[in-house]
Amino acid sequence: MSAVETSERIGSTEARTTNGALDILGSIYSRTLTNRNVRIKDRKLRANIKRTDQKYKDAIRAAKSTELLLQEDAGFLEAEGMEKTYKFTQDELLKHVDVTTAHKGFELKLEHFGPYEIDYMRNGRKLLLGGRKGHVAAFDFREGTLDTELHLNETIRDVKYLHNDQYFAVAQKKYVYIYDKSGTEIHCLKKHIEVTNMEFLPYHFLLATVGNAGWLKYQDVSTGEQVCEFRTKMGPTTSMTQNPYNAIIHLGHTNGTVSLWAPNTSTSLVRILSHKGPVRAISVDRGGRYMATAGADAQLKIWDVRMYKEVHAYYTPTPPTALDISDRGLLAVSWGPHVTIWKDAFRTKQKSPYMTHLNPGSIVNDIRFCPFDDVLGFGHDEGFTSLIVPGAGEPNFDALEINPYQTLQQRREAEVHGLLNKLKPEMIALDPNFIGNVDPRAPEERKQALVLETTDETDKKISNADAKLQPKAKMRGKNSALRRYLRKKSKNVIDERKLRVEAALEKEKRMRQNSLKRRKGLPVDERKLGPALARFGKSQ
Amino acid sequence: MHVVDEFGVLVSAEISPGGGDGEDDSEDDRDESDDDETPSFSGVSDSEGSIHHTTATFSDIESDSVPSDLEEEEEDDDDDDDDDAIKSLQQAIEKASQKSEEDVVRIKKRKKLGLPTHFAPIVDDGEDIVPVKKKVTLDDIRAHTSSSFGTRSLARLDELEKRSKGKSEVVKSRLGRRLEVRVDRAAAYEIAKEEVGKWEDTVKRNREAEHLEFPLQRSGGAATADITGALDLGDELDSEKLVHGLEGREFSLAEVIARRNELRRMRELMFREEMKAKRVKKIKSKTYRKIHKRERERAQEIAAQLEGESGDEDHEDSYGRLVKHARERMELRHKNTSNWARDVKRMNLHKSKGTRDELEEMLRRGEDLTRKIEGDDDDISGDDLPNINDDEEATEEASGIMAMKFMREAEERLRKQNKESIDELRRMEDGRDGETEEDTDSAVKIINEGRRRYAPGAQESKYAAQESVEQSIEADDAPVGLERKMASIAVKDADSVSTISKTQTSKKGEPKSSKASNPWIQDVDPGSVAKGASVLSLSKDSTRFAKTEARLKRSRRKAKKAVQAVEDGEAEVRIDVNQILQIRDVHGDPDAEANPVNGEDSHVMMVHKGGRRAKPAEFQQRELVKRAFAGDDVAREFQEEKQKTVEDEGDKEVDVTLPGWGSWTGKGVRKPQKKFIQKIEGINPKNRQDSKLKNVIINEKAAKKSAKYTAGAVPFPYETREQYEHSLRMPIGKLWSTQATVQRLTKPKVIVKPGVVVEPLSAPFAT
Repeated sequence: MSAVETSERIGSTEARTTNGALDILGSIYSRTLTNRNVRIKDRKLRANIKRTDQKYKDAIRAAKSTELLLQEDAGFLEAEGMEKTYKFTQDELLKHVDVTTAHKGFELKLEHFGPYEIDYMRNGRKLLLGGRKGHVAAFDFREGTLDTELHLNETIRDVKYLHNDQYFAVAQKKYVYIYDKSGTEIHCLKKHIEVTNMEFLPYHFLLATVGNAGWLKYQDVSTGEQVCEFRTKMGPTTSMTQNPYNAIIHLGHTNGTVSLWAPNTSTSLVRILSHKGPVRAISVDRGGRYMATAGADAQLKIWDVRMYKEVHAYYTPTPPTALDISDRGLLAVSWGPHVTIWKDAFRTKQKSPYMTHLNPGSIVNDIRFCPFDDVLGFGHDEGFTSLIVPGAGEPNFDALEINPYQTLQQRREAEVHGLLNKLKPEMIALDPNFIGNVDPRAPEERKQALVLETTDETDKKISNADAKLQPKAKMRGKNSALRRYLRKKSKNVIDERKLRVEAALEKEKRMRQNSLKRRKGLPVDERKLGPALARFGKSQ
Repeated sequence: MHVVDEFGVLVSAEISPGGGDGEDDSEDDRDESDDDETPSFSGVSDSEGSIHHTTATFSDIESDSVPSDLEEEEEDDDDDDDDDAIKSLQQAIEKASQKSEEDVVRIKKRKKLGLPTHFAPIVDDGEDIVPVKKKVTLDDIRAHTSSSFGTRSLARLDELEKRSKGKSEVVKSRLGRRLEVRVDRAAAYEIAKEEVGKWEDTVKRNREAEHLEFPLQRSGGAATADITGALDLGDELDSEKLVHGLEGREFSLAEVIARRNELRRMRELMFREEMKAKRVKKIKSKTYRKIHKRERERAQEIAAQLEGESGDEDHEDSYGRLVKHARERMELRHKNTSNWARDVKRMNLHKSKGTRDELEEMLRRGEDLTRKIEGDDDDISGDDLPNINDDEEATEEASGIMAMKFMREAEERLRKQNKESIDELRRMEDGRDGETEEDTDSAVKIINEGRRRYAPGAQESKYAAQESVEQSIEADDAPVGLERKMASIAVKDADSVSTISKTQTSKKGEPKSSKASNPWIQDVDPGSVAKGASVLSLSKDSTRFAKTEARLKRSRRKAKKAVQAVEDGEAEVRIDVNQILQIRDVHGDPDAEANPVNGEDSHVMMVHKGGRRAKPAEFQQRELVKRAFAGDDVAREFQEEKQKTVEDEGDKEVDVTLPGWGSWTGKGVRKPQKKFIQKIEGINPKNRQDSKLKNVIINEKAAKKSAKYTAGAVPFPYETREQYEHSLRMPIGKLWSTQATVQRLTKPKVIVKPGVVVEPLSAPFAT
């Protein structure tokens, strides 16, 4: 049996063409070329465009040349002779991998609070577990250090990490709560009721939730405002995922449709009839090209999301419960107690899986690939299991983008940068490159749309301003120490202290009134002279 | 005595529009300046009229008058214009002479009275007094000047005369001032243009440059490096480089080219020189060669002696020797074949001792060489001996009786037989394996009810066929005999197919185990299903006989196909296809029968099942699932929804008729015919993005949002949308590109080094 072997880089398959020039332009770094056969008349413009083209080519070449610096190579399990990769068990695999990798394959037996929902942090460092019966745990699974562990004594439907490991959201029985790293409850999102699924859009700082009522709600976690909410009109939502390429939310419904949503449109952008039964799980690959959907009709379908066309369809013996696609394009499907992992399942129809795993006796509930690692975690009825899946994770990371080895300082910087570069919710569209392009509409039509948009915004602002309460004259100091003294003191006795107290009270009152008048813009009767000189002035 | 005062004034007034007394300022200025230069006659002039152009000739007047009319004309036309002017002038003079007859009479009278007539030159020819066109000279004036006239002015005249004695001509009046200025300007422009043109290249280059860095580079070292590099390139590009570099000075293209040519010439000359030197170096004198040859031979001799003594030689030496021997063998140089040897023989020279010795020496040498070759050959043959075992080489090297044809053929035959037997043995080994595997497999299949996707086994197909027959019997109480017959044929067919497949696999020698243990067996091939469907979709009305016939045909075709497939080497898949169809009949799924080419039926089993863990319930499970979702017709609902969306987003007609408008009541009132309908344009159903996608609804309105992030029109320098969007394609940020790329992309157009005085561009090649 062969151990994990390095094979050719899958990511660069696109770049592997015969022609040298095309090789560069067809690489992963290139962007779509528009058809420009028409000769440009203006010489200056022609020269300009030619120069831009050259720059573009140079940029691609330079980007491609940096591949030299990538330290790691990705590889998959390779079978020799009669062997089949799907026959390799985890035990066999663990014998052949290095110690640190073997350390990542583990099992947590948590029999009392299952089934478990899981979530990995974006950089793959931290793991968040949420047991249906109220158990929440956040920890670094490599080092085995626990961040927090909570027993909420309430149903938990989903857990989600926010932009870093400092905050996570938990969809509980009624509301969604946000906790910090130490397990302190920070926010209760009372507008998100009976949420079943959550997604976090890291570049927009948006937490999208959807629940049994079928309302899709976007909450900006940086400002705390709810950005928008839409009624799906399709009953309870059964599954949810985001397209990492364009931040579109994909929802699966009980009637077998998958709908695509963006915050700027109140209706779904696209609806796809995918299954005959409820859509149990959806997953979109990193490039935003393929979508996998699993339905209760025991089918698994692969869709080309760019064309909205079905590519392949598979049967599963029992209806699949969860799906996930790894960074390197492995597709993990769980059905009953089984986990099946498929390689290259999008382009070509596969006949046999890449790996399989049986988790006897407990049904798999949630399944996730760990980013930047060859690890697949799944939560099931009796806890959590971590599998080693060679070739699942992206071996090379961009430390400026997502850094698995982030220090405290880097985390802080990343947070600030993330907030500075935060994208607006309206920028989410099916084509994320639409910004700056020419509006295809006629100018008048566009103008109208612009006016509408701006008026909407201003209306909103005005209404918000109205909603804010006017500052009112608070009856402060009603029970101050001075008053209390006067109250307690017998009325008929007038001594020096009482006089002082009364004067002080009088002064306080005047100042209070003056400040109120000033706030309202009314004239203030101010005594020009201070208390020392007032007696020399005119008596009032 | 000529008097011209009246005429001169008149003429000038007639011809030049700009002339006359104080008509315009410039004229005045000129007059003043003229006065300065020419002696004033104010003292001389009388009340009759002042003489402005005392010394002015007619030609002068002409030259003055012409350019005023023809300002923009070129000089070529000037002569013609002059002629015209002269004519007009003469006409004017004639006129004037007629007019002035009275004056002449008056002057005559004056003369008679003895009064002075001033300078009016009147020729007294009897009766006629004709004014003569003649220059008035100083002498004339002096002659007529009496001593009573101001001597002071005369003295000035004298002075003037002295000054202008050298030239015979009279001082010409200046051109019109405006004209002068214009000419000056034109000349200055030409010069300035030429001067400024020197910068043209520089300015153009700077304007076209993507980035400019001030101060412009002036480092000498870099420039020279640039030049050498450019020269090496030797194409048009290097000239540009030159323009850029070369001690930071600006060059014009022509100069650069000239310089480059010169350098090129120099390089060419140098190259020639070098080649020549090389050639010359090779040329050696005869004596030189002779000496060297002798030395070489001596060295060789010594070496040979050493060799002979040691007896053992290096590998390379031996190689050299081999070569030498080979050459000897080829050339036969040391035989009696050379010209010299032949000559010796012919002329009987070998009788002399010296020659004979030489001849003998030569022959000995040749013998020596050939002998050594034989020795080597012996060695080689000895080495070859162990190779004889290898049969192929043996055949190649066979000789004697073995090389004869019949022997070789016999050997070939034997070898073939051997090979065949070995192959057979191997195949038998493999084949037995395959059969055993298959047997176990088929046994399993019999147990597994409802499993339809396994590879074809004999048992299974038999079983399936029989079942199908039973089904058909149950379904319709048709002539049982025929059905049975058909069924038996089908069974037979299946049988034959399975046996064929078996033999085929055994023949192929391919291990069957891999196929059998692999549970990922391909399902329905859509094409073949379609064929099956065509058979199945015989119309209900068709007779039973026709149906059975069709079935029969199908089964026959199946058998034929199977055989053919065996021949083609792809039997299994096709057999499998038919099997599935029959099994579908077993389960009596009306849907599947009616529409077997359904997309969902062509799915591949997805889940991996272990070979030993058999799951008989799995297939039924799927059926159950199907039935579970049979109630809610999701597809139809979705289509309805789509239809609704298409209508909503499509063209709409709104009835904007005002209720009550134009409607009258009463007897005989007609109903208002006209309805006001407004059409609101929507999206044409054909142009929808989802028009060709069956299970997809794409919201057409959604694309119209977020107008504020789009451009209203194509920005200026771009002509089309594509060009503009093309330019946006490349992101500049450092997240998407390398550091170098980002720096290049964000480099400002003009960079001024801080703290450095930016001097204006110096003239290129200015010294």
